[in-house]
Amino acid sequence: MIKTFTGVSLVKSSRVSLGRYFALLLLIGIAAFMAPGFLTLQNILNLLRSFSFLGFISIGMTFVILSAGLDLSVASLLALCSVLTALFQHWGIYLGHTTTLSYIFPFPFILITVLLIGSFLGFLNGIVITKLKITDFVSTLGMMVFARGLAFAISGGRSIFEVGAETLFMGRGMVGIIPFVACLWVFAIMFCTIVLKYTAFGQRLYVSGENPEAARLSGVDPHIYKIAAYTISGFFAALAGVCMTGRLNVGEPRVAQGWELDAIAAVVIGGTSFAGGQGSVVKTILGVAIIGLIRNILSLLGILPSPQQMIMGLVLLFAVILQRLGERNSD
Amino acid sequence: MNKGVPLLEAKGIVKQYPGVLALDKVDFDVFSGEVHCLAGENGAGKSTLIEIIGGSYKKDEGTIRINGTEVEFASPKEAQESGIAVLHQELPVLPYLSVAENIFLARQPRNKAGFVNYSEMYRQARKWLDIIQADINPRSLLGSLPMSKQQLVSIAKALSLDAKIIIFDEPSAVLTSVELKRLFEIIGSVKKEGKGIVYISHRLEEIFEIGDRVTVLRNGRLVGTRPIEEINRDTLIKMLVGREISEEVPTERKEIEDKAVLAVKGLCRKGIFEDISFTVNRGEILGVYGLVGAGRTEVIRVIVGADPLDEGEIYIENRRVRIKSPKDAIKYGICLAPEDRKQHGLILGKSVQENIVLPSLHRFKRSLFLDYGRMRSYTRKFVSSLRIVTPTLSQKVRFLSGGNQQKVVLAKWLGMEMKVFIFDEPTRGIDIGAKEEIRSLIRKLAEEGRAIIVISSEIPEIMSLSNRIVIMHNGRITGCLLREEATKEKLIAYSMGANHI
Repeated sequence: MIKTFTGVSLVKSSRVSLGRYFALLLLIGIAAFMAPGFLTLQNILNLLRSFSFLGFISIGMTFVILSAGLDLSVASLLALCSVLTALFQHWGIYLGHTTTLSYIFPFPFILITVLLIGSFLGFLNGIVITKLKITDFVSTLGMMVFARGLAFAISGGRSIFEVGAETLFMGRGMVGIIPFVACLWVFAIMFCTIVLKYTAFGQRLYVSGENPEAARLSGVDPHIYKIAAYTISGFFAALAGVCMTGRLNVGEPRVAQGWELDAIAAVVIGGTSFAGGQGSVVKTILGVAIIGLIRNILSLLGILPSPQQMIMGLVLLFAVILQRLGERNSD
Repeated sequence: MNKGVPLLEAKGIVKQYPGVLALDKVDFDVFSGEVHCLAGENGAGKSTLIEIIGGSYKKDEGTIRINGTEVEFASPKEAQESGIAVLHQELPVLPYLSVAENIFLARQPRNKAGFVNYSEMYRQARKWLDIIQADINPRSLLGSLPMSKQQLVSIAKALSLDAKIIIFDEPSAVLTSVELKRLFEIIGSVKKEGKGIVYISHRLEEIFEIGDRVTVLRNGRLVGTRPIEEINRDTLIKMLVGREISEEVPTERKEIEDKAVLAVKGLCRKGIFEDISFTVNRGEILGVYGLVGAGRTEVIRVIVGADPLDEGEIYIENRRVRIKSPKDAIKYGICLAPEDRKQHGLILGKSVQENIVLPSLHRFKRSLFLDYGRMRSYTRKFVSSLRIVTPTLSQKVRFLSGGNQQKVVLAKWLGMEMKVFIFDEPTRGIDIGAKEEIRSLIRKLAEEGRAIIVISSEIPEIMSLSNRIVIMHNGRITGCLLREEATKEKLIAYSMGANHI
């Protein structure tokens, strides 16, 4: 009796999220039909790796959107951190020799520095939004242009070729048969899920995102949690930047253009509410997979990047409309 | 005075809302060249009547005649075309347009090419502003003007619309006394031109100052319409309050320890309230009465750190404290059940448990993580002791009834050893059975030795709960009564600005 009872309400409340799983299955079906090798373990692991880079910034974006914000600067921060990672291994570039590695600092130090820079720029986003009361759209747009410009400025607009073995491992390395970056992504998801669900920090982040005024009156300072969310977003953008540099073996200021929109799309398609306070990092995996698969299939079909962009736009719009309808039904 | 055909005559107006008779056969009329005041408590039906006359609401029964011809307004625009102008308290203005553009909104003078003829528009705007002797540049942005001048602009607009009847909805709520004096002069001159003025006010002194006649509504019913010469302050208060004896239940007053838990001295927020001082003792319930807009909520928002304080001192158990945020207030043991439960008191999309443990989350940490088992038993304790009706602890509070929602708000603070509980309209929007339950919970808290502040607009509620009642009017405390001394008449008189009875 109870079982049927909860069963009914479950189906009712999550019809939209079930729709997402169907969409994913459908995409997998299409891909498997078009490319016979699609469902092999090897390919799935490859896909997992290719998802990870967008996956990292989508995790950060999930935190930001849960706090009722929006971060347009992630892709530029990724590019800046990519350039920094390569540059820190190429101080010699300023001495005229471009292809030899010239470490001044050991890799762990470089890694930590880049992650700190990314987090700090995210932190700045948070400060500008909460303390100077600039809307998140405008302030992160500013950061987006600034970080991309900085990436071009310090690299002189050039790609910085060749990075060290540790960086390469971050992007290309394997743990057994599993790509290292995928392991890192899965670990990050688990870690963030635990943080959001089982710590006071996570609970307060959710509450501050859904209703900042009520949170404030309950003694929770919503500003702190918003700043934290942007800092986390900056951290993951930096992490994605380091891994990306390893994957490409290049510090590249042009990398990841337009990814901020893919990350937002992944979070929203996954089912995290734009209004803040509702959603999870696990949901975002689904969004990342859907976005990644659509891109993959469109490439398999030989569709050029610009029409791809157009189709992605429609997908995002469709997902948001579906979510709206879902929210209306559940009210 | 009452000669000829009235400019406006409303007869037998009935307006029914589900479960409430907002207006019950109300008659109201305005003659040319008079100021007719409309008075009544909160919820007496003044606004409803005005909205019907102004065409915003539809009446269920009754007739409205303008100059003797029956009219039926389908929209505010139609009422406007018949010469009725309603000047609402919150004026619908476009702050980034000029004064002239606001006056001639959607009817700007055009030139031959069909474009707006700005010089003509400014000229005409100047003319109307001059008529009321308003020193306002028609080119300045409306949003850059103070509230009082915006009010003058809307009067100019009403005149330019050739309004025969101008309705002022509590203008004094947003004006200073100097500005109000100016407004009264303008009303006087407009009156001489043969317009009919309707003036709604909470304040007795204003009614006597500018009114020619006064109509009193109570609980949606017409109490009476009198020429101002025939009544005095006492008869007007009697009309407002009615003869019914207040239904207070004077429980035997238990000894209140004379031990101040919360004391505030000279609290001030510029332009909102000033010079607010009171104390609340251990085990005492302090009621705060006042009309809407008297500044009650604003005062307690300052005490709980939700808004900044301009001046004044707050003491907790005789120690001066500085409260900069709600977090500080909670640290000192002050908590609030806010007026807007849904927006400020609760996180509607979160569960009963998540809401109840929110302020005390830090207590459930076990190393880095939250101890869900302990959170559940903590929540369950309050769900059963307060008898919160919910299917599970993980039910979203959105789906609970008003009474149960209020209990969840209360449960948030019960486990935290708060010293001062502040309730802002604790029973608003709650059904009658649950109201009494909430009230007895409040009484129980007082018996346990907490200091309690209750803001309420319901006189019977405030009389039955409080040990002492503070009355506010226009951002100031106008009276402080022990329950034994308090009567409905006194509360209303103080709340309307009388400072002695």
